[in-house]
Amino acid sequence: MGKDYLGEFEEVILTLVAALQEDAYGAAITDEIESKLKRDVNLSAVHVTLYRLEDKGYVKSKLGGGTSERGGRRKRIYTITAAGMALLKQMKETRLELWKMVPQLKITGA
Amino acid sequence: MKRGGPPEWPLQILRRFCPTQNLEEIEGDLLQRYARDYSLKGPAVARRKFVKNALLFFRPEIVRRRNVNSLRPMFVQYNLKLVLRNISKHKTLAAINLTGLSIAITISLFTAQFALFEFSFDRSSLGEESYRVDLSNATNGVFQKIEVSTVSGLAYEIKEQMPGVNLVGRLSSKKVGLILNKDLNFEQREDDIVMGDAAVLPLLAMTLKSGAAKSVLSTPDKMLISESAAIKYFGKSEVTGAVLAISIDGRQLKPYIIDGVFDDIPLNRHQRFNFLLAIEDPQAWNQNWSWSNCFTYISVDPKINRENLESAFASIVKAHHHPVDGKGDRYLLEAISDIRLRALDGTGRIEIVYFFIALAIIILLLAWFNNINLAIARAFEAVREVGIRKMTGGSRSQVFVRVIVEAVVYHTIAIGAAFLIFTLTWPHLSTFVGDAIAQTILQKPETYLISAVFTLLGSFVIGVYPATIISSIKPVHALSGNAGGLLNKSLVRRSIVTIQLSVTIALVFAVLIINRQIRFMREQDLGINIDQTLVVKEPLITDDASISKYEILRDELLAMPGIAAVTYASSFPGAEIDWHRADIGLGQEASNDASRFSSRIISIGSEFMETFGVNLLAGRNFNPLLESDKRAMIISEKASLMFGFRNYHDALGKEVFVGSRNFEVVGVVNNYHYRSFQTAVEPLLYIQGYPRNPAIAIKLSSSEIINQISAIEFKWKKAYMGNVFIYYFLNDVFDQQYQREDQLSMLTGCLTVIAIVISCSGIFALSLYEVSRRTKEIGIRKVMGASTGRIVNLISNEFIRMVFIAAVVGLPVVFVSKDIWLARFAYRAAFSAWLMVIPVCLVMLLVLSSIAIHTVREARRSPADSMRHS
Repeated sequence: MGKDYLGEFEEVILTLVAALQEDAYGAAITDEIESKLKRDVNLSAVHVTLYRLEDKGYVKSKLGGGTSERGGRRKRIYTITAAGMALLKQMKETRLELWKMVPQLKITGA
Repeated sequence: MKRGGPPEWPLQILRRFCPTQNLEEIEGDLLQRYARDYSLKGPAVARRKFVKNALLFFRPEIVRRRNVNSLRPMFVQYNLKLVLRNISKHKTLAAINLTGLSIAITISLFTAQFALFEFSFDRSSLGEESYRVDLSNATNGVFQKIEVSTVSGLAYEIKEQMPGVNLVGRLSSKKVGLILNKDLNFEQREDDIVMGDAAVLPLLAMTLKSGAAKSVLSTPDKMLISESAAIKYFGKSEVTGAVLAISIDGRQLKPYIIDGVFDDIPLNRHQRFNFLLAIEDPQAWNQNWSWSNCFTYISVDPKINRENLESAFASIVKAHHHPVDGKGDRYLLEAISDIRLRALDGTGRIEIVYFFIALAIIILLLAWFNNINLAIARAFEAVREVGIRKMTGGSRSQVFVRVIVEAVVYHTIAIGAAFLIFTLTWPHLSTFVGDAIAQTILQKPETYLISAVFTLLGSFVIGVYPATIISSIKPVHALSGNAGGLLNKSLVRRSIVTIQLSVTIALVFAVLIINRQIRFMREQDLGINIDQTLVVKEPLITDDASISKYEILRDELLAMPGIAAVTYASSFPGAEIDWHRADIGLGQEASNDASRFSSRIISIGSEFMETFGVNLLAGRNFNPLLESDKRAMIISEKASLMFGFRNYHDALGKEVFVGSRNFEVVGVVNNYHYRSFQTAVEPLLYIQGYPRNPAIAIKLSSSEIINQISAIEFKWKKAYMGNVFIYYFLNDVFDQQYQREDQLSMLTGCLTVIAIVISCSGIFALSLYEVSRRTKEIGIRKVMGASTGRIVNLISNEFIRMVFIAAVVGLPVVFVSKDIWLARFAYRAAFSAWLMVIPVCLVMLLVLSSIAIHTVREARRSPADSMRHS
């Protein structure tokens, strides 16, 4: 794996880009993180992470439509690339394998 | 901003650093978040979060994305790299530029230090402005001169009569005296003892360290002492109540009780002294209207009308001044802060301050010109570089900024170097110039602010023109090897060099005039021989027996080998003769009409003429054995002329009245210069003196002076016991009268050399550049048959022409202004045309030798080499 490693926050963002599909852009992703993960996050952090993911080739972007609440400014819509999807899947499987190593007792027992 | 909308300014800041390609989506997201926060949490929170969110975008990951695809790299780093590369590429030129600029800035620092010191004089008065009362002295309505010392009765009268005067204080001129601390048996001769009123303390902004300001100097046996003098005499500064014995004017030692200690008077005051004695006889001082014995200082109510003061002064003049002699006399108020620089009596130093400021500016301009010139010269080289930059999308302003940045770098380095040089040399220079000034401008924070402003300003001055022409290069011209309109710019370059040269020629011319005048004055025949003459200052403590001591001492000294002559005189050459009478009559006592004469009078021993080699033109010398010679007088040529005698023999036997005393003229002697050649010879009358405390002059004939001095000291101390033996060589003291001119000449000379070096190094660099640019041309010319001489001619002709134009511009300026300076001298060296030829030749020689080395080398090279390596 090595260089294909993603940080935890990067993984969250990448997952959300995959999940939100046509609605994946900075402000929306930030909203989701706040509402779903109950986590305080800064808009600029989200943007920086998106740019980094794009530089690494896991997402691609195009400019979408603007709305009045955005002052007519267009959104940059992100879509996950095949490489991004593959990495996400791989990380999930690795995680599951690790889970299997954990003794069941610990989960049920108390 | 509409109500409820987000603030605009965070977005403006964002636009400054945010990459353009990402700006739109970021702004959109920010606004969307704001709208969401607005509906959920209200306007205040929304606005705060908006600002925070926007500003948090200022982070390296965002800022660094800026312009990554554009050709505009990071501004400062990139430009600095270019400048440093340029400097290391042209090491010689850069070194010349930097050295010149550093020296010029160092000179400016020194000048600023000097000027600030001069301008700081008497600026720290406490409260309102103090004034010195000067007398505009007139005789029978005709203005004579401004007198700064006044009669002591004036202050009393001002205090009694004048409206709106807050304080009046008198201060005597400095007196020489002997001061003794009896307990420690420590005695010393002091020459800064003054007498005065306690009111001078606030008037001269002096502060008492101890003692009650209200009650000091209340009785004639009280005195104040400076802190450093207290430490000198007592070893401590708390000495109130202690006693010092003081003898002034050759009188007996008299005890004074120390009433208080004042802080040492700073260097930048016109009155500096260590001992302030109470006025000995206040009654006599208050009544004195006959001779000027003090300075009068007053402070007036700012609300009082100036006209009231003037009419009050006028009535004082009317009441106390002589109706004829004092007709037209006026008292003037001179602010003490003006005394150092703009004194009414003409001793102000403002011209000299402005002169050096002007010189410093000139030198700075010369250094700047060098920088401008080389920057323009380099424009030729920059043509290709600029062309490529513009082709690849660089804008004109980028090129412009690059040149300015270069100037900023140069200035910053030069200022750093100048500060360093200043710090290292100041301690030595300040003691050399005179008193040590501890506080330098480097300790003032303003200096750094001014330096920063100066850097920007200077960079702009030297950068803006080259930057304009370099940035105006058209890429098409540049890449086709055509310099476009650049070649026409050599006119500007030539004019700059011509200005530099004319300044240099003018400075050399000025230095020659100054030096010639000083040498002229030094070499003139004084009409008197003052070589190898030792003067022993007068003893300060005398008694009734002293009067008989002189003749015994004289005979003992004359018996010593190597002593040629000994004489007494009331004053010796090199010092002003302060015995000056204006009531001299011929044949009768002077009355109030036009038959009055004024002259200086000196009392001498009969050996005076022989000792100083003064020649008798008619009559005889004094004969000490003749009782009648106590009323004899010898007059100088000039005095004989003043009295209107037909010839010198005509003068003999005539009666001259000084006041009511009459003298018979027994001889006429030649004029001599008892002052330097700055002043004209004045009439002089000699009478025989009867010395109680004589200063004596000893003419030495051998070279073993050191041994003789101790022998003389031994004998002198035996005669005048308890006195301090102080001597000087007459020609040294006489020479000190030229100290001011010497300093001026030396400083101007140094600055001129610096100006020459800066100009010539500029020319050196310019011609070096010229030659290297024309290497190929020179090669071709040689192939076509040009001789080495012709090539050298080709390069140097231009410079020779410039020297001549510079001479035409520079010489007349000095020629016209020289008379202003020379006007202060009574005797002036004759002007000769050589004074104008020499600077031109000198500068020509310097210019040719600065361009010769590389011109000749280039001209002698084989054309094959010149054309290959270029």
